[in-house]
Amino acid sequence: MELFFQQTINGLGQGAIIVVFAIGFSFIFSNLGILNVAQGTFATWGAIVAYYLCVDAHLPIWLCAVVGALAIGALGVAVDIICFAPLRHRSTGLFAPLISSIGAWIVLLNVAQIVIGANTNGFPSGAVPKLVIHVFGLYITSMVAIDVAVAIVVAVVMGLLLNRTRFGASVRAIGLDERTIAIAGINTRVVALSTAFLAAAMSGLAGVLSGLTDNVITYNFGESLLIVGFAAVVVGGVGSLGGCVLGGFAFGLIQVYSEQYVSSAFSDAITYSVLLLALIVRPRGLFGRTLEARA
Amino acid sequence: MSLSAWESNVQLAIVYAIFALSLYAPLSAGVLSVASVSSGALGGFLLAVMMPASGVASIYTLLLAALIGGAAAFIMSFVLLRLDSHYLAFATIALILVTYVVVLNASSVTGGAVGRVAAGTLGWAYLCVALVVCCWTFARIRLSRTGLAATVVRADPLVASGIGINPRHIQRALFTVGGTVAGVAGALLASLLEYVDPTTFYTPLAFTSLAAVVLGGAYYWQGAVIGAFVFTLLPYLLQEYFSANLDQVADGVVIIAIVIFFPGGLIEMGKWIRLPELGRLAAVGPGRPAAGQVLDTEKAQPTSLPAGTAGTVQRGRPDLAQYTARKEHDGAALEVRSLTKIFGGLRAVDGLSLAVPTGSIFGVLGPNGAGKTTFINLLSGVLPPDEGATIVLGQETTGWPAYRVARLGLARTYQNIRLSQGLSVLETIMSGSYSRQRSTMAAAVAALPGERRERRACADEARHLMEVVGMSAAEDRRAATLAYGEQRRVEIARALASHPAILLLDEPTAGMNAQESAQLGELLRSLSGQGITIVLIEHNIRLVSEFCTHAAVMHSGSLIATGRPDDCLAQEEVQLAYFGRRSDAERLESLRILRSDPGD
Repeated sequence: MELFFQQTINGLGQGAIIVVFAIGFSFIFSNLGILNVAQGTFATWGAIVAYYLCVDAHLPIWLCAVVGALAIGALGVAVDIICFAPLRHRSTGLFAPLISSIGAWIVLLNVAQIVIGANTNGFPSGAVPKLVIHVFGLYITSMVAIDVAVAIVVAVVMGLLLNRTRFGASVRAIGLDERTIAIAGINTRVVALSTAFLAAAMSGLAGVLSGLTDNVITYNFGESLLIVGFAAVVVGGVGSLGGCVLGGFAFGLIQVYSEQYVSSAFSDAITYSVLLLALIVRPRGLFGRTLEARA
Repeated sequence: MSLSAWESNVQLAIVYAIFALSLYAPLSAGVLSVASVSSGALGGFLLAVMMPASGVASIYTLLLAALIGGAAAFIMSFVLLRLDSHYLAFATIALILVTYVVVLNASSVTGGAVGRVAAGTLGWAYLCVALVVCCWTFARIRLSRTGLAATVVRADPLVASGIGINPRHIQRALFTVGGTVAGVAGALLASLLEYVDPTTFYTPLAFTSLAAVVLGGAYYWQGAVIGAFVFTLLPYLLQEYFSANLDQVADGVVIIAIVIFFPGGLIEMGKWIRLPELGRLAAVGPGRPAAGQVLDTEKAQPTSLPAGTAGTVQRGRPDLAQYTARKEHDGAALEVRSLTKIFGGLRAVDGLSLAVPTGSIFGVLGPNGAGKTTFINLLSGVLPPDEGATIVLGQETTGWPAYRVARLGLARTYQNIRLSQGLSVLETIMSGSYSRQRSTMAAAVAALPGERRERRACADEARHLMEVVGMSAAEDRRAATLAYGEQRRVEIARALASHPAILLLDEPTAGMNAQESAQLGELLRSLSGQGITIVLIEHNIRLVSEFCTHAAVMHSGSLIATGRPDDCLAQEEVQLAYFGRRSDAERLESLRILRSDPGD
């Protein structure tokens, strides 16, 4: 039983990273209609930037994380300007942005490989906080605590931003009808770029957290985050913040439990099977919205 | 690049072209899916398992791969097609991941992570024949009524449903075709690589194929082939100039550039240098001279419909009307009983009961927001009612999907014109006769003469319908680029192409001038003379009072008057609904302006 609780804590830590990633992924998808497969490499790049800041510039690790996230936000803006903004005024639907993001993904993934090579990197041992808290015979590492705290903060801030601010209202409106809100006097370009910035920055942050927690940075480690984050978004319901939080933690726990109790080989299979099953049972996710078509 | 490198790369390009076609198939019906990779995995591992040991001839292995790939896709379609487009794309990606893990763990069959050696016996001949067969299949499907229906479904499932096409059915058919083709492609890929492992059929294959489809031009099957060749061969050409990884970076840049600068893909770029038109019209042909004669003989009665298509029979072509078995019934053509539709807190249609007599021209009037369009949407099955019943031609249709109602003999037009992007005028009208044609997709692929005859007859009839509705534009113009009034006529012609018993027109004269409106009125009268019941939503009161035999006035979702049009308009409640409470003098004045009897 103690093992179960210990794994639950580890699962929540892993889930927290998925939550942060999923919020970013869902944010750009539900508001700009972009299924951005490059978000996984954004996470990788977040970790890479933080890694170099830590190793070469000797910045404190929290600053590395913040600067890493901001840098990926900027990268997201650049990708948006190059790959998505030109498509926004043609009603291309899901298809064209998806292909464009595949292009961005290929570029970023290969550049990552050129930059850090095929080896596995890790943060220097002194840089990562390694405090361990003992509670009721369970171990809570400081990184797990930080992951969960960051996830909660990100979720709350995003919730407030979306629902309590004028900017949030613009973001939600742009997802419904861009032309109308442009007529209403909102600068849709600024709103779209801010959305892209936040989504990418969250992916970058998730990448930094993952790199710090597992201390494994490869040129493609973000891809696994993409896949499980995408599962969390779909099961939770696209566009639902609560869905992302629930889905993220759920998949964190599912992965850890299935590694512990089934086999690590089937951990991914179980994740994807849950995803497929959830899609079949609730095609719009747990908290997905339904809209009625007009003839 | 050496000759042998060229050879293997071209072979790889052929396999990727077939994979790209397998993705194009569902996409042509508007389904963005990468599930073919899973069908391909079945084909690939089937070959790896069967070929070395069993001594089964290669051709049978290939056919079996096709069968299994298609069957898998068919079964998957029942789950996947229930999902909305975004989620479907998601789910098929998840499917690839599940396939990967299954392949990884079913090591007794698949060899697990190590993979499995496959016999590389399917050489040039198999590759070329497979590619040619696939191209032929897609070219024929594109010409067929299924292909036309798929284009309509892709552009607008609602319109497809309104002309009797079951979108799900078309999508399932093409999804299955995609799976079949993918099964073959998977087997060919395994044979070419002489090796299969879990990563052979993984997301890179999906994204490569998808990128190839887009690169070539997602609206044409030719695009998939061209895209696959360019996409496969380009990196090898670039390899000479770029180091490792950078060639792939260049690949990514090319994808982005194509999507942004050439959204139509390479094939549309080809049009700049005046390649021959890639549409379907050539194969609909010869038509033109024959149609000219037909029109001469029918000039005498320019607005007559091919009702019963006596004309087509005379010309020795099959009588399309023979297929339209209309149920004989007594009583009203349309009837609704306490019909109610609620949107949130708004009772858009509220306890509406009325009957439309057979053969009438029934005008539905009412101020904006009265619920007229919702009423038509309920009748045609676009929306399910919350309460009440709809009865079409004596058949209760409450809750039926639109395509079933359409097949009963109800056709409609739309208030906001809905013409499928990319279709010509002729094709748009031909799409309307989908549910009257009987040729199967297999007949089209086999190029049976019956299918060709049927298609020609439809094309001829569509040309005739252009005359009937008074179209002056060329038949090969893109319908969606026409002037507003012309677009309305195309919509009416498309509706008539299904030989409807009932025609619902939602503000057909919007965008027409007075003379055109009057012509439309005459057309309605002649259609009505041939036994078609017409329901007309109109704000043009003059048209209604002149041409309608019956009228009903709606206000806030309820009926406030029925009867002869002029009687309806004279009722005080109707005038109140339109004009609000005013003095008699003002009301008379407004009425006079509305009927536009200039000051006499």
